Amino acid sequence: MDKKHLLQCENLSIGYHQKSLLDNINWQFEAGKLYSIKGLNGAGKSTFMKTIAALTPPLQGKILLDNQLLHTYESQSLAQKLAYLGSQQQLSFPMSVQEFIMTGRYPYMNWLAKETEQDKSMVKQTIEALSIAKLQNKSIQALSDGEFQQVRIAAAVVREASFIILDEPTSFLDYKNKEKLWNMLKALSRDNKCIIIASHDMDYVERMSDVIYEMNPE
Amino acid sequence: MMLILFISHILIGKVSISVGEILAIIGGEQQNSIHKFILLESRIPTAICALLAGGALSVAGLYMQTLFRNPVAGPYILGITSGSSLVVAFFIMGASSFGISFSKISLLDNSVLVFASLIGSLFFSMIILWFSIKVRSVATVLIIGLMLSSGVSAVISLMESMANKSSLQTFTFWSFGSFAGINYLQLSIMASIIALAIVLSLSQLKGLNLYIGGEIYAQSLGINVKQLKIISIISTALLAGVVTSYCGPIGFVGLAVPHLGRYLMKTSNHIILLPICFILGAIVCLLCSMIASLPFFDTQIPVNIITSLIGAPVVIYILWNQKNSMQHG
Repeated sequence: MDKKHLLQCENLSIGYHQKSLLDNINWQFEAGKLYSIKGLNGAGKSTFMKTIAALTPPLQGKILLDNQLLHTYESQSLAQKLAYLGSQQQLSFPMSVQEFIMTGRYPYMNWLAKETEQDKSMVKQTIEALSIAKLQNKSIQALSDGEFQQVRIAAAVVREASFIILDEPTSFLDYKNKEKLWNMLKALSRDNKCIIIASHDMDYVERMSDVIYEMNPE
Repeated sequence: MMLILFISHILIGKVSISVGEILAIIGGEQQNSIHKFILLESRIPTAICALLAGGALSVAGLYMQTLFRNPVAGPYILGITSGSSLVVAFFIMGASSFGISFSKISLLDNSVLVFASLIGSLFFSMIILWFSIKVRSVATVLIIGLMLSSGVSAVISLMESMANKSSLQTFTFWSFGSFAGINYLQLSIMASIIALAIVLSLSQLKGLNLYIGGEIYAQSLGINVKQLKIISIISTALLAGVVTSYCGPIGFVGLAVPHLGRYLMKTSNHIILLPICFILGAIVCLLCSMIASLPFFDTQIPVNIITSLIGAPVVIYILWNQKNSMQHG
Protein backbone atom coordinates (compact mmCIF):
# COMPACT_ATOMS: atom_id res chain seq x y z
CA MET A 1 0.00 0.00 0.00
CA ASP A 2 1.19 3.54 -0.81
CA LYS A 3 2.49 5.58 2.05
CA LYS A 4 -0.04 8.26 3.02
CA HIS A 5 1.19 11.83 2.66
CA LEU A 6 1.14 13.51 6.04
CA LEU A 7 1.36 17.07 7.36
CA GLN A 8 1.95 17.31 11.11
CA CYS A 9 2.03 20.24 13.53
CA GLU A 10 3.95 19.62 16.73
CA ASN A 11 3.59 22.07 19.64
CA LEU A 12 3.06 24.79 17.04
CA SER A 13 2.61 28.43 18.04
CA ILE A 14 1.37 30.83 15.41
CA GLY A 15 1.22 34.64 15.28
CA TYR A 16 2.78 37.81 13.96
CA HIS A 17 5.67 39.94 15.24
CA GLN A 18 6.22 37.61 18.22
CA LYS A 19 2.60 38.12 19.28
CA SER A 20 1.10 34.70 19.68
CA LEU A 21 -2.41 34.00 18.38
CA LEU A 22 -2.58 30.32 19.29
CA ASP A 23 -0.17 27.97 21.06
CA ASN A 24 0.41 24.28 21.35
CA ILE A 25 -1.28 23.17 18.14
CA ASN A 26 -0.84 19.42 17.60
CA TRP A 27 -2.97 18.70 14.56
CA GLN A 28 -2.26 16.43 11.68
CA PHE A 29 -3.54 16.24 8.16
CA GLU A 30 -3.40 13.23 5.87
CA ALA A 31 -4.06 12.67 2.19
CA GLY A 32 -7.52 11.48 1.22
CA LYS A 33 -9.40 13.59 3.75
CA LEU A 34 -11.11 16.96 3.88
CA TYR A 35 -10.25 19.05 6.93
CA SER A 36 -12.05 22.19 8.03
CA ILE A 37 -10.67 24.79 10.38
CA LYS A 38 -13.34 26.81 12.09
CA GLY A 39 -13.15 29.68 14.50
CA LEU A 40 -14.24 33.24 15.07
CA ASN A 41 -12.84 36.11 13.02
CA GLY A 42 -9.42 37.08 14.33
CA ALA A 43 -8.87 33.66 15.91
CA GLY A 44 -5.86 33.16 13.64
CA LYS A 45 -7.29 30.90 10.92
CA SER A 46 -5.56 32.80 8.10
CA THR A 47 -2.27 32.96 10.01
CA PHE A 48 -2.47 29.22 10.63
CA MET A 49 -3.12 28.52 6.95
CA LYS A 50 -0.19 30.70 5.90
CA THR A 51 2.05 29.10 8.51
CA ILE A 52 1.40 25.54 7.31
CA ALA A 53 1.89 26.75 3.72
CA ALA A 54 5.37 28.06 4.72
CA LEU A 55 4.38 31.63 3.85
CA THR A 56 4.66 32.84 7.47
CA PRO A 57 7.22 31.45 9.94
CA PRO A 58 5.90 29.68 13.05
CA LEU A 59 6.64 31.32 16.41
CA GLN A 60 7.47 27.99 18.00
CA GLY A 61 7.18 24.28 17.39
CA LYS A 62 7.57 22.19 14.26
CA ILE A 63 5.71 21.49 11.03
CA LEU A 64 6.58 18.22 9.30
CA LEU A 65 5.63 17.38 5.73
CA ASP A 66 6.12 13.69 5.01
CA ASN A 67 8.41 13.54 8.05
CA GLN A 68 10.66 16.36 6.81
CA LEU A 69 10.69 19.79 8.42
CA LEU A 70 8.63 22.12 6.23
CA HIS A 71 11.20 24.95 6.15
CA THR A 72 13.97 22.62 4.95
CA TYR A 73 12.20 21.98 1.64
CA GLU A 74 13.59 23.66 -1.45
CA SER A 75 10.97 26.20 -2.58
CA GLN A 76 10.21 24.57 -5.96
CA SER A 77 9.81 21.07 -4.53
CA LEU A 78 7.59 22.41 -1.75
CA ALA A 79 5.43 24.10 -4.41
CA GLN A 80 5.01 20.67 -6.04
CA LYS A 81 3.71 19.17 -2.80
CA LEU A 82 1.61 21.94 -1.35
CA ALA A 83 -0.69 24.56 -2.89
CA TYR A 84 -2.08 27.57 -1.05
CA LEU A 85 -5.05 29.67 -2.16
CA GLY A 86 -5.54 32.93 -0.28
CA SER A 87 -9.01 34.29 0.31
CA GLN A 88 -8.70 36.83 -2.49
CA GLN A 89 -6.61 37.19 -5.59
CA GLN A 90 -6.36 39.94 -8.15
CA LEU A 91 -4.48 39.76 -11.40
CA SER A 92 -2.71 42.98 -12.30
CA PHE A 93 -2.77 42.25 -16.06
CA PRO A 94 -5.04 40.19 -18.32
CA MET A 95 -4.39 36.45 -18.59
CA SER A 96 -6.38 33.69 -20.26
CA VAL A 97 -7.81 30.85 -18.18
CA GLN A 98 -5.47 28.36 -19.84
CA GLU A 99 -2.45 30.59 -19.24
CA PHE A 100 -3.40 30.98 -15.59
CA ILE A 101 -3.90 27.25 -15.02
CA MET A 102 -0.55 26.62 -16.73
CA THR A 103 1.18 28.80 -14.08
CA GLY A 104 0.40 25.92 -11.70
CA ARG A 105 2.94 23.86 -13.70
CA TYR A 106 5.72 26.43 -13.24
CA PRO A 107 7.42 24.53 -10.39
CA TYR A 108 8.07 21.74 -12.92
CA MET A 109 9.33 23.97 -15.73
CA ASN A 110 12.79 25.32 -16.60
CA TRP A 111 13.78 28.98 -16.15
CA LEU A 112 12.13 29.98 -19.44
CA ALA A 113 8.88 28.22 -18.45
CA LYS A 114 9.05 25.85 -21.41
CA GLU A 115 5.86 23.77 -21.50
CA THR A 116 6.33 20.02 -22.01
CA GLU A 117 3.75 17.58 -23.42
CA GLN A 118 3.19 16.40 -19.85
CA ASP A 119 2.40 19.97 -18.72
CA LYS A 120 -0.10 20.39 -21.56
CA SER A 121 -1.82 17.06 -20.97
CA MET A 122 -1.99 17.71 -17.20
CA VAL A 123 -3.76 21.02 -17.83
CA LYS A 124 -6.11 19.39 -20.36
CA GLN A 125 -6.96 16.49 -18.03
CA THR A 126 -7.61 18.82 -15.09
CA ILE A 127 -9.86 21.09 -17.15
CA GLU A 128 -11.89 18.02 -18.16
CA ALA A 129 -11.91 16.46 -14.70
CA LEU A 130 -13.17 19.67 -13.09
CA SER A 131 -15.71 20.24 -15.90
CA ILE A 132 -14.50 23.76 -16.67
CA ALA A 133 -13.86 23.26 -20.40
CA LYS A 134 -16.34 26.02 -21.26
CA LEU A 135 -14.14 28.54 -19.42
CA GLN A 136 -10.79 27.59 -20.91
CA ASN A 137 -10.63 30.14 -23.70
CA LYS A 138 -12.00 33.02 -21.66
CA SER A 139 -9.96 35.76 -20.05
CA ILE A 140 -9.67 35.60 -16.24
CA GLN A 141 -11.04 39.15 -16.15
CA ALA A 142 -14.27 37.95 -17.80
CA LEU A 143 -15.02 35.27 -15.17
CA SER A 144 -17.50 35.49 -12.31
CA ASP A 145 -16.15 35.08 -8.75
CA GLY A 146 -17.37 31.48 -8.65
CA GLU A 147 -15.77 30.61 -11.98
CA PHE A 148 -12.50 32.25 -10.93
CA GLN A 149 -12.39 30.14 -7.75
CA GLN A 150 -12.84 26.97 -9.83
CA VAL A 151 -10.00 28.05 -12.12
CA ARG A 152 -7.78 28.78 -9.10
CA ILE A 153 -8.48 25.28 -7.81
CA ALA A 154 -7.59 23.89 -11.25
CA ALA A 155 -4.24 25.74 -11.08
CA ALA A 156 -3.64 24.09 -7.69
CA VAL A 157 -4.61 20.64 -9.00
CA VAL A 158 -2.22 20.78 -12.00
CA ARG A 159 0.58 21.24 -9.48
CA GLU A 160 -0.05 17.62 -8.47
CA ALA A 161 0.18 18.87 -4.90
CA SER A 162 -0.97 16.40 -2.26
CA PHE A 163 -2.04 19.24 0.01
CA ILE A 164 -4.39 22.03 -1.07
CA ILE A 165 -4.83 24.75 1.55
CA LEU A 166 -7.74 27.15 0.99
CA ASP A 167 -8.45 30.22 3.09
CA GLU A 168 -12.17 31.13 2.93
CA PRO A 169 -12.62 29.97 -0.67
CA THR A 170 -16.39 30.50 -0.70
CA SER A 171 -16.74 33.83 1.08
CA PHE A 172 -17.83 35.79 -2.02
CA LEU A 173 -19.95 33.05 -3.59
CA ASP A 174 -23.69 32.55 -3.80
CA TYR A 175 -25.40 29.33 -2.68
CA LYS A 176 -25.17 27.57 -6.04
CA ASN A 177 -21.47 28.28 -6.49
CA LYS A 178 -20.73 27.35 -2.88
CA GLU A 179 -22.36 23.96 -3.41
CA LYS A 180 -20.37 23.41 -6.61
CA LEU A 181 -17.05 24.37 -5.01
CA TRP A 182 -17.54 22.23 -1.89
CA ASN A 183 -18.48 19.25 -4.08
CA MET A 184 -15.39 19.85 -6.20
CA LEU A 185 -13.17 19.91 -3.11
CA LYS A 186 -14.85 16.81 -1.63
CA ALA A 187 -14.24 14.94 -4.89
CA LEU A 188 -10.58 15.99 -4.82
CA SER A 189 -10.20 14.66 -1.26
CA ARG A 190 -11.59 11.32 -2.45
CA ASP A 191 -8.94 11.42 -5.16
CA ASN A 192 -6.29 11.13 -2.43
CA LYS A 193 -5.69 14.86 -1.97
CA CYS A 194 -5.60 16.44 1.46
CA ILE A 195 -7.93 19.45 1.43
CA ILE A 196 -7.59 21.93 4.28
CA ILE A 197 -10.21 24.69 4.36
CA ALA A 198 -10.71 27.63 6.68
CA SER A 199 -14.38 28.48 6.41
CA HIS A 200 -17.39 30.13 7.99
CA ASP A 201 -19.89 27.99 6.03
CA MET A 202 -20.97 25.99 9.07
CA ASP A 203 -23.49 23.80 7.27
CA TYR A 204 -20.94 22.71 4.64
CA VAL A 205 -18.19 22.34 7.25
CA GLU A 206 -20.37 19.94 9.25
CA ARG A 207 -21.62 18.06 6.18
CA MET A 208 -18.48 17.74 4.06
CA SER A 209 -15.54 17.52 6.46
CA ASP A 210 -13.86 14.31 7.53
CA VAL A 211 -12.19 16.14 10.41
CA ILE A 212 -12.98 19.55 11.93
CA TYR A 213 -10.43 21.47 13.98
CA GLU A 214 -11.56 24.42 16.02
CA MET A 215 -9.50 27.46 16.92
CA ASN A 216 -10.21 28.68 20.41
CA PRO A 217 -7.72 31.28 21.52
CA GLU A 218 -7.33 31.60 25.27
CA MET B 1 9.58 46.32 -39.90
CA MET B 2 12.39 47.32 -37.56
CA LEU B 3 14.84 46.79 -40.41
CA ILE B 4 12.73 48.83 -42.86
CA LEU B 5 12.53 51.69 -40.37
CA PHE B 6 16.24 51.44 -39.66
CA ILE B 7 17.01 51.74 -43.37
CA SER B 8 14.45 54.55 -43.82
CA HIS B 9 16.00 56.36 -40.87
CA ILE B 10 19.37 56.26 -42.61
CA LEU B 11 17.81 57.47 -45.87
CA ILE B 12 15.78 60.35 -44.46
CA GLY B 13 17.35 63.56 -43.28
CA LYS B 14 17.89 67.20 -43.97
CA VAL B 15 20.62 66.38 -46.47
CA SER B 16 19.38 64.04 -49.16
CA ILE B 17 21.60 61.04 -49.83
CA SER B 18 20.56 58.53 -52.51
CA VAL B 19 20.34 54.76 -51.97
CA GLY B 20 23.10 54.21 -54.53
CA GLU B 21 25.35 56.65 -52.72
CA ILE B 22 24.64 54.95 -49.38
CA LEU B 23 25.52 51.54 -50.84
CA ALA B 24 28.71 53.03 -52.30
CA ILE B 25 29.69 54.52 -48.95
CA ILE B 26 28.97 51.29 -47.08
CA GLY B 27 30.83 49.32 -49.75
CA GLY B 28 33.82 51.59 -49.19
CA GLU B 29 33.83 52.90 -52.75
CA GLN B 30 33.23 56.53 -51.95
CA GLN B 31 35.88 58.35 -49.94
CA ASN B 32 36.17 61.72 -48.16
CA SER B 33 32.72 63.01 -48.92
CA ILE B 34 30.59 65.04 -46.58
CA HIS B 35 27.82 62.55 -47.24
CA LYS B 36 30.01 59.74 -45.97
CA PHE B 37 30.58 61.67 -42.76
CA ILE B 38 26.85 62.38 -42.31
CA LEU B 39 25.98 58.75 -42.91
CA LEU B 40 28.64 57.04 -40.84
CA GLU B 41 29.07 59.53 -38.03
CA SER B 42 25.52 60.83 -37.67
CA ARG B 43 22.65 58.88 -39.23
CA ILE B 44 23.78 55.30 -38.51
CA PRO B 45 24.79 55.93 -34.86
CA THR B 46 21.60 57.94 -34.28
CA ALA B 47 19.48 55.09 -35.68
CA ILE B 48 21.31 52.50 -33.54
CA CYS B 49 20.89 54.75 -30.51
CA ALA B 50 17.13 55.13 -31.13
CA LEU B 51 16.81 51.38 -31.57
CA LEU B 52 18.67 50.58 -28.34
CA ALA B 53 16.98 53.33 -26.31
CA GLY B 54 13.48 52.35 -27.43
CA GLY B 55 14.09 48.69 -26.68
CA ALA B 56 15.62 49.37 -23.28
CA LEU B 57 12.96 51.83 -22.12
CA SER B 58 10.15 49.51 -23.17
CA VAL B 59 11.60 46.54 -21.31
CA ALA B 60 12.15 48.77 -18.25
CA GLY B 61 8.49 49.86 -18.47
CA LEU B 62 7.31 46.25 -18.81
CA TYR B 63 9.15 45.22 -15.63
CA MET B 64 7.94 48.26 -13.69
CA GLN B 65 4.28 47.76 -14.61
CA THR B 66 4.41 44.17 -13.38
CA LEU B 67 6.48 44.95 -10.31
CA PHE B 68 4.26 47.83 -9.21
CA ARG B 69 1.12 46.02 -10.38
CA ASN B 70 0.08 49.18 -12.15
CA PRO B 71 -0.68 49.85 -15.81
CA VAL B 72 0.48 53.46 -15.60
CA ALA B 73 3.87 52.68 -14.06
CA GLY B 74 6.97 53.45 -16.07
CA PRO B 75 10.50 54.64 -15.47
CA TYR B 76 9.49 58.24 -16.30
CA ILE B 77 6.35 58.36 -14.14
CA LEU B 78 7.87 56.64 -11.10
CA GLY B 79 10.78 59.05 -10.92
CA ILE B 80 13.53 56.61 -11.95
CA THR B 81 14.45 58.90 -14.84
CA SER B 82 14.47 61.82 -12.39
CA GLY B 83 17.34 60.19 -10.52
CA SER B 84 19.43 60.32 -13.67
CA SER B 85 18.24 63.83 -14.55
CA LEU B 86 19.22 65.16 -11.13
CA VAL B 87 22.74 63.80 -11.44
CA VAL B 88 23.11 65.11 -14.99
CA ALA B 89 21.73 68.53 -13.95
CA PHE B 90 24.19 68.64 -11.09
CA PHE B 91 27.05 67.71 -13.40
CA ILE B 92 26.21 70.31 -16.04
CA MET B 93 24.86 73.21 -14.05
CA GLY B 94 26.37 72.50 -10.65
CA ALA B 95 29.79 72.12 -12.24
CA SER B 96 29.43 75.47 -13.99
CA SER B 97 29.29 77.13 -10.57
CA PHE B 98 32.84 75.86 -10.08
CA GLY B 99 33.90 77.18 -13.47
CA ILE B 100 33.79 73.82 -15.29
CA SER B 101 31.72 73.58 -18.44
CA PHE B 102 30.65 70.70 -20.68
CA SER B 103 29.52 70.75 -24.28
CA LYS B 104 27.07 68.02 -25.26
CA ILE B 105 29.82 65.92 -26.78
CA SER B 106 32.20 66.17 -23.85
CA LEU B 107 29.24 65.51 -21.63
CA LEU B 108 28.54 62.17 -23.29
CA ASP B 109 32.24 61.34 -23.30
CA ASN B 110 32.30 61.60 -19.58
CA SER B 111 32.02 58.06 -18.34
CA VAL B 112 31.98 59.30 -14.75
CA LEU B 113 28.76 61.13 -15.60
CA VAL B 114 27.18 58.01 -17.10
CA PHE B 115 28.18 55.99 -14.07
CA ALA B 116 26.91 58.67 -11.68
CA SER B 117 23.67 58.88 -13.62
CA LEU B 118 23.20 55.10 -13.31
CA ILE B 119 23.78 55.39 -9.57
CA GLY B 120 21.18 58.19 -9.52
CA SER B 121 18.53 56.07 -11.21
CA LEU B 122 19.42 53.07 -9.04
CA PHE B 123 19.15 55.18 -5.90
CA PHE B 124 15.70 56.49 -6.88
CA SER B 125 14.60 52.98 -7.88
CA MET B 126 15.59 51.71 -4.46
CA ILE B 127 13.64 54.53 -2.75
CA ILE B 128 10.54 53.64 -4.78
CA LEU B 129 11.06 49.92 -4.11
CA TRP B 130 11.43 50.59 -0.39
CA PHE B 131 8.17 52.55 -0.39
CA SER B 132 6.43 49.83 -2.41
CA ILE B 133 7.43 47.25 0.23
CA LYS B 134 6.39 49.46 3.18
CA VAL B 135 3.27 50.96 1.60
CA ARG B 136 1.09 48.29 0.05
CA SER B 137 -1.16 50.65 -1.91
CA VAL B 138 0.02 50.94 -5.50
CA ALA B 139 -1.72 54.29 -5.89
CA THR B 140 0.27 55.68 -2.94
CA VAL B 141 3.53 54.41 -4.41
CA LEU B 142 2.67 56.04 -7.71
CA ILE B 143 1.93 59.35 -5.99
CA ILE B 144 5.23 59.08 -4.07
CA GLY B 145 6.97 58.54 -7.42
CA LEU B 146 5.27 61.61 -8.86
CA MET B 147 6.19 63.64 -5.77
CA LEU B 148 9.82 62.54 -6.08
CA SER B 149 9.77 63.67 -9.71
CA SER B 150 8.25 67.02 -8.72
CA GLY B 151 10.82 67.47 -5.95
CA VAL B 152 13.64 66.73 -8.37
CA SER B 153 12.13 69.13 -10.95
CA ALA B 154 12.08 71.85 -8.32
CA VAL B 155 15.74 71.27 -7.45
CA ILE B 156 16.62 71.24 -11.16
CA SER B 157 14.67 74.48 -11.72
CA LEU B 158 16.57 76.05 -8.86
CA MET B 159 19.85 74.99 -10.46
CA GLU B 160 18.61 76.34 -13.81
CA SER B 161 17.81 79.71 -12.28
CA MET B 162 21.34 79.97 -10.93
CA ALA B 163 23.20 78.45 -13.89
CA ASN B 164 25.20 80.41 -16.44
CA LYS B 165 23.91 80.76 -20.00
CA SER B 166 26.03 78.12 -21.71
CA SER B 167 25.47 75.38 -19.13
CA LEU B 168 21.76 76.17 -19.05
CA GLN B 169 21.68 75.76 -22.82
CA THR B 170 23.54 72.44 -22.65
CA PHE B 171 21.17 71.12 -20.00
CA THR B 172 18.04 72.33 -21.81
CA PHE B 173 19.23 70.64 -24.99
CA TRP B 174 19.89 67.41 -23.07
CA SER B 175 16.47 67.54 -21.37
CA PHE B 176 14.68 67.75 -24.74
CA GLY B 177 15.85 64.23 -25.44
CA SER B 178 17.84 63.27 -28.49
CA PHE B 179 19.29 60.13 -30.05
CA ALA B 180 21.83 62.17 -32.00
CA GLY B 181 25.40 63.12 -31.17
CA ILE B 182 26.49 59.71 -29.95
CA ASN B 183 29.66 57.96 -31.16
CA TYR B 184 30.39 54.27 -31.60
CA LEU B 185 32.33 53.91 -28.35
CA GLN B 186 29.42 55.39 -26.40
CA LEU B 187 27.01 53.15 -28.31
CA SER B 188 29.03 50.10 -27.35
CA ILE B 189 28.96 51.13 -23.67
CA MET B 190 25.21 51.70 -23.91
CA ALA B 191 24.64 48.35 -25.67
CA SER B 192 26.78 46.51 -23.10
CA ILE B 193 24.88 47.93 -20.13
CA ILE B 194 21.52 47.16 -21.80
CA ALA B 195 22.66 43.60 -22.57
CA LEU B 196 23.88 43.15 -18.99
CA ALA B 197 20.55 44.39 -17.59
CA ILE B 198 18.51 42.11 -19.84
CA VAL B 199 20.66 39.03 -19.14
CA LEU B 200 20.40 39.80 -15.43
CA SER B 201 16.61 39.88 -15.65
CA LEU B 202 16.18 36.65 -17.65
CA SER B 203 16.17 34.50 -14.52
CA GLN B 204 13.21 36.50 -13.19
CA LEU B 205 10.80 36.23 -16.17
CA LYS B 206 9.00 33.20 -14.72
CA GLY B 207 8.65 35.00 -11.40
CA LEU B 208 7.29 38.13 -13.10
CA ASN B 209 4.60 36.02 -14.79
CA LEU B 210 3.52 34.64 -11.43
CA TYR B 211 3.73 38.08 -9.81
CA ILE B 212 0.78 39.12 -12.00
CA GLY B 213 -1.24 36.83 -9.71
CA GLY B 214 0.07 38.67 -6.64
CA GLU B 215 2.96 38.42 -4.21
CA ILE B 216 1.53 35.53 -2.19
CA TYR B 217 0.72 33.60 -5.37
CA ALA B 218 4.28 33.94 -6.66
CA GLN B 219 5.67 33.01 -3.24
CA SER B 220 3.44 29.94 -2.94
CA LEU B 221 4.72 28.77 -6.33
CA GLY B 222 8.28 28.77 -5.08
CA ILE B 223 9.43 32.26 -6.15
CA ASN B 224 11.79 34.24 -3.93
CA VAL B 225 9.83 37.50 -4.13
CA LYS B 226 12.50 39.65 -2.47
CA GLN B 227 15.09 38.50 -4.99
CA LEU B 228 12.60 39.02 -7.82
CA LYS B 229 11.99 42.63 -6.76
CA ILE B 230 15.66 43.49 -6.24
CA ILE B 231 16.93 41.98 -9.50
CA SER B 232 14.07 43.41 -11.57
CA ILE B 233 14.51 46.89 -10.12
CA ILE B 234 18.30 46.84 -10.66
CA SER B 235 17.70 45.75 -14.25
CA THR B 236 15.10 48.52 -14.71
CA ALA B 237 17.40 51.14 -13.20
CA LEU B 238 20.28 50.12 -15.48
CA LEU B 239 18.06 50.20 -18.58
CA ALA B 240 16.38 53.52 -17.80
CA GLY B 241 19.53 55.06 -16.34
CA VAL B 242 21.82 54.37 -19.28
CA VAL B 243 19.26 55.61 -21.81
CA THR B 244 18.57 58.78 -19.81
CA SER B 245 22.23 59.64 -19.40
CA TYR B 246 22.96 59.30 -23.13
CA CYS B 247 19.67 60.48 -24.65
CA GLY B 248 18.05 62.66 -22.00
CA PRO B 249 14.68 61.94 -20.37
CA ILE B 250 12.49 60.20 -22.98
CA GLY B 251 8.86 60.04 -21.87
CA PHE B 252 5.98 57.70 -22.67
CA VAL B 253 7.93 54.98 -24.53
CA GLY B 254 8.39 52.89 -21.35
CA LEU B 255 4.75 53.44 -20.44
CA ALA B 256 3.05 52.91 -23.80
CA VAL B 257 5.02 50.12 -25.49
CA PRO B 258 4.32 47.34 -22.92
CA HIS B 259 0.58 48.00 -23.42
CA LEU B 260 1.03 47.82 -27.16
CA GLY B 261 2.90 44.51 -26.73
CA ARG B 262 0.18 42.96 -24.55
CA TYR B 263 -2.48 44.26 -26.89
CA LEU B 264 -0.85 42.88 -30.04
CA MET B 265 0.25 39.53 -28.60
CA LYS B 266 -2.89 39.00 -26.47
CA THR B 267 -0.75 37.81 -23.57
CA SER B 268 0.92 39.07 -20.40
CA ASN B 269 3.63 36.40 -20.56
CA HIS B 270 7.00 38.13 -20.00
CA ILE B 271 8.90 35.44 -21.88
CA ILE B 272 7.03 36.48 -25.03
CA LEU B 273 6.75 40.17 -24.14
CA LEU B 274 10.45 40.79 -23.44
CA PRO B 275 11.60 40.40 -27.08
CA ILE B 276 8.35 41.84 -28.44
CA CYS B 277 8.53 44.98 -26.30
CA PHE B 278 12.20 45.44 -27.20
CA ILE B 279 11.39 45.29 -30.91
CA LEU B 280 8.25 47.45 -30.62
CA GLY B 281 10.14 50.01 -28.52
CA ALA B 282 12.91 50.11 -31.10
CA ILE B 283 10.33 50.63 -33.86
CA VAL B 284 8.58 53.42 -31.95
CA CYS B 285 11.82 55.28 -31.20
CA LEU B 286 13.15 54.86 -34.75
CA LEU B 287 9.87 56.31 -35.98
CA CYS B 288 10.00 59.22 -33.51
CA SER B 289 13.63 59.91 -34.34
CA MET B 290 12.79 59.86 -38.05
CA ILE B 291 9.92 62.32 -37.58
CA ALA B 292 12.28 64.54 -35.54
CA SER B 293 14.73 64.72 -38.43
CA LEU B 294 12.24 65.13 -41.30
CA PRO B 295 13.62 67.56 -43.88
CA PHE B 296 10.66 69.98 -43.83
CA PHE B 297 11.27 71.04 -40.21
CA ASP B 298 13.74 73.90 -39.99
CA THR B 299 15.35 72.56 -36.85
CA GLN B 300 15.59 69.14 -35.19
CA ILE B 301 12.38 68.61 -33.17
CA PRO B 302 13.03 67.38 -29.60
CA VAL B 303 12.33 63.64 -29.50
CA ASN B 304 10.54 63.96 -26.16
CA ILE B 305 7.80 66.04 -27.79
CA ILE B 306 7.19 63.39 -30.45
CA THR B 307 7.24 60.41 -28.04
CA SER B 308 4.70 62.23 -25.85
CA LEU B 309 2.47 63.14 -28.77
CA ILE B 310 2.40 59.53 -29.99
CA GLY B 311 2.54 57.82 -26.59
CA ALA B 312 -0.22 59.65 -24.71
CA PRO B 313 -3.08 58.81 -27.12
CA VAL B 314 -1.88 55.19 -27.40
CA VAL B 315 -2.02 54.77 -23.61
CA ILE B 316 -5.46 56.42 -23.39
CA TYR B 317 -6.79 54.22 -26.20
CA ILE B 318 -5.50 50.98 -24.70
CA LEU B 319 -6.65 51.79 -21.15
CA TRP B 320 -10.05 52.80 -22.52
CA ASN B 321 -10.31 49.43 -24.26
CA GLN B 322 -9.35 47.59 -21.09
CA LYS B 323 -11.64 49.45 -18.72
CA ASN B 324 -14.61 47.13 -19.03
CA SER B 325 -12.65 43.92 -18.77
CA MET B 326 -10.65 44.54 -15.61
CA GLN B 327 -13.12 43.25 -13.00
CA HIS B 328 -10.58 40.95 -11.38
CA GLY B 329 -7.67 43.25 -12.06
